[in-house]
Amino acid sequence: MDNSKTDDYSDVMIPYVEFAENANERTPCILVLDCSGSMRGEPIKQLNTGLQALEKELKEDIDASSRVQLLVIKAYGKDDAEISADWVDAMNFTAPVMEASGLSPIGKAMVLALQKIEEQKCLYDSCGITSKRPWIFLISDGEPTDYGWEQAAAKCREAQQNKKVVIHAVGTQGANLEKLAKFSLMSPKRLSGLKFTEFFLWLSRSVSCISRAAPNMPDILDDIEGWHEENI
Amino acid sequence: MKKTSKAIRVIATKITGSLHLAKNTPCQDFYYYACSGNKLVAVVSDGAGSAKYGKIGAKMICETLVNVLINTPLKDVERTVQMAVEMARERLVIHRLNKSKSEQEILNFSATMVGVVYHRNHGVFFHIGDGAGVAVHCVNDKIDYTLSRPANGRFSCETYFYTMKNWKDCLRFTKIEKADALFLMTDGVTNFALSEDMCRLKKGFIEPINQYLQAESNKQRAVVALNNTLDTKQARKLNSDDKTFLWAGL
Repeated sequence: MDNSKTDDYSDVMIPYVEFAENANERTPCILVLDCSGSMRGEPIKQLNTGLQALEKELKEDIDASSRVQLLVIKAYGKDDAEISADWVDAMNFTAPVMEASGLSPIGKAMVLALQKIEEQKCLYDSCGITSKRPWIFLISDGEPTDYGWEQAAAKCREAQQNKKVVIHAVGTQGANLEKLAKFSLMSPKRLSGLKFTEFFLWLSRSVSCISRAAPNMPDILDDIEGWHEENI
Repeated sequence: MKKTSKAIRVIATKITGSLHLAKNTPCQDFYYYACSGNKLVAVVSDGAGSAKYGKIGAKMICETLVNVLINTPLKDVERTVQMAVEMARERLVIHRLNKSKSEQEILNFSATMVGVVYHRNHGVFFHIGDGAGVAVHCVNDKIDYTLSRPANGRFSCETYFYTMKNWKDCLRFTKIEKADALFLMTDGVTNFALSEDMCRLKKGFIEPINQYLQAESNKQRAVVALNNTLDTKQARKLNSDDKTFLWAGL
C-alpha cells in the first residue's frame, strides 16, 4: 500500500483505534548560563539575542522542533541556581530573558542540571519515549564561585564517564578555562568576542544533527569556526 | 516468494514518516513474508534513522531471513536465524556501497529486526533492537498474548542492530504456543500498541485492529483501512517515524 490509496476504499478506516500521546524520540539539551554581574551590559544583551536566535532556528527545523527538548538554568546571585525555562519541546520553547547579577555558582547549577537530566530520563522511561544521550552546555564569562564546586565538577565528569551525559564548556573572553575544564572530559572552547548568536546557531544545527543521527554513530558536530577563538 | 495459503492471511503496510516526507527521503522500513502451506515466516525491519544505507540493510535482513527460514523446520529456527543473520552481514560486507568492504562499514546499513516463524500452533519470535512482536490468542472472549518487547540501551542512540559486532548478545527468541493472530511492527507503531513500560498491550489498538482484519475478507479493503488508520493526521503528529505494521490471521 505504502502511502498510495485505492479509490474504491479511500475513506475506509478501522473503527475504535486509539492513539497514544506524543511518541517522538527526544534529544534533551540543557543550557547552564552564568549570569553573574560581570555579564552586565553588552554581554547579557548578546546572550539574550543569541537565545532568541536559538528559539527561531530550532522552531524552523522540522526535525529539531519535535525531537529536541530544552531546559535553561541560570547561575547568579549569591548562591542561586534557578530554572529559567523548564523542559519543553523546541517547538514550544520561548527564549527566557536573562538578567545579570551577583556571583557564578556554577557548581550548584551543574548539579541541578544533572538532577534534571535524571528526572527527565525517568519520565521518558515511564512514558515509553526513547531518547538520545543528553547534552549540557555550560557557558561562563568567569569561573565558579560557589563552595564545593570542585565536587560538583567531579560529579559531572563521572556522569560523562558513565555515558549518562555529554558536557561542553564554553568560556567567553576572561573566563577561566582551566577551571571550566574540570566540568567536562572534553577541552573547553573559547567564544570569540561576543558571538553568542553564532554559537547558538551552531548549537541548534548540532543538536538537530544529533537528534537525527544513526544510533551508535559518533556525534558529528557542525564546524565551530563561526564562533570559536583558536588561540587561547 | 509471496505465496499466501488459504489458511493464513497476511495484511501489511509501511507508511513513510512525516520526517522523511518533509525531506523527500524514502521510508527506511521494510517488511517481507512468505507462506508455505500452514507455515508463515514474516520479518519487519527499521533502517536506522540517518544510517546512510539503512533502507538497504532493512531489505537485506528481511529477505535473507524469510528466504532461509521458510524451508527450515521449527526446531531448527534459533540456529538458522543466527546463520541467516551471518549471511546478511556477509552480504553487506561485499555490498557495492560498502566501499572499504569492511565489517566496520556495515554500520552504515544499520537496521533492527523483528520476525516470526509459525507452524501448526507453535512459533517463535526472533528480535534485535526495538519494534515489537505480538501473538494473540482468544480464550472465552478474553485475549491472551505473547509479547516480544522492544529493547534499547539506556538511550536510543545505544539501540541494537544486526549490523553491530555484538549482535548475538542482543538477539532474543520468544516462544509462542497457540495464536489466532500475529503482529509485527516497527518503533513508529510500538508506542500506540504497547503500555508505557512496553510490557503490556494498550487497550484500543491491537484489539480493534485484530477484530476488523479478522472480519474483513476483502484484502484490498483491509490493506487500505490499515493504511488509512495508521496514516491519520493524529498518528503522524504523535509519531513522525516510519510506520510498518504486519498482521497475520492464522
